[in-house]
Amino acid sequence: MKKLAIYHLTTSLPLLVILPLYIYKIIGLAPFAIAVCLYAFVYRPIVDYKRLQEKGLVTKDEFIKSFGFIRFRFLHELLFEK
Amino acid sequence: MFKSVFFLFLALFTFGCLDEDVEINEIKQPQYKVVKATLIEKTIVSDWISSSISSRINGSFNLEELQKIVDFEKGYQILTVLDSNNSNQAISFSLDEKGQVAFSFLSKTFKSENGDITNEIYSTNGVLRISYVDRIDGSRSIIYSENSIINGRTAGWWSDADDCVGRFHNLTPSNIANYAIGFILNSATLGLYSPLSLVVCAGYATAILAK
Repeated sequence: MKKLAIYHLTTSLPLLVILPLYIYKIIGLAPFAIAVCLYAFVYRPIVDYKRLQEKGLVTKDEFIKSFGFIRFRFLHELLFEK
Repeated sequence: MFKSVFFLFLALFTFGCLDEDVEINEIKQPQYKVVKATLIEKTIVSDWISSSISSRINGSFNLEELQKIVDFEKGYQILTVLDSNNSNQAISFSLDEKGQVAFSFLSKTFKSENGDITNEIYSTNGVLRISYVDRIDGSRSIIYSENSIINGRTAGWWSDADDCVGRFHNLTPSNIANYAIGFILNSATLGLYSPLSLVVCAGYATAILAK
């Protein structure tokens, strides 16, 4: 349960920082788009991969070969399983 | 191979759809021109004021100062005069094709310290019809509207939250691109983008309300 909470916190926190930065106009549209893309296509796949690897569900090769799309096969394990 | 092309397309699509600041080099003609109203226009307005508006309002506007604002782009023109006791207030008129006063309203304008300009539009009997803010970034927000349906949508917590969610989900001028970007971001974040933007916007609207 603790691990699941840490996973959700780790995935939510960066977005909880990026979104207010944009809405309070601290950063413009282009930096916001770059930050969100970095989060969505780099940071988040890495975090998801680590969780899936810990659970023994995927190997590094499988994850890279699938370009991260393998996450969708293990949605329940990622988001809801302890 | 297919995935590489997909990601390349994704990157081009995402960044290609963003608004870019386009430098306009050509010198544009001014959209508005302010000229003195003609004697005929002054007479029409004077007759209308003396027959239609209370003496309190009547006395505070010097019709010798009546100005005509012409919008060249839209082809509109409006007659307006400042309140001689309060330069934040003005009364404005539009004339119909026959040269009679078709519409009139009172307006109050205030400039805040941060440069935002608030406009309040009243009917000539003093009922607030609409109020809006022109912000220094060029955006405009309706604060109050006589129309309760519009008012419910444009004023208060809901309006601020709604506005904020719109900014996260209307990143480009194209609806199709916005839909696609939302779909991609939600997929890539495993559905986190939309719910989290709602949470952030709820906090944002609450913070504005608490100010």
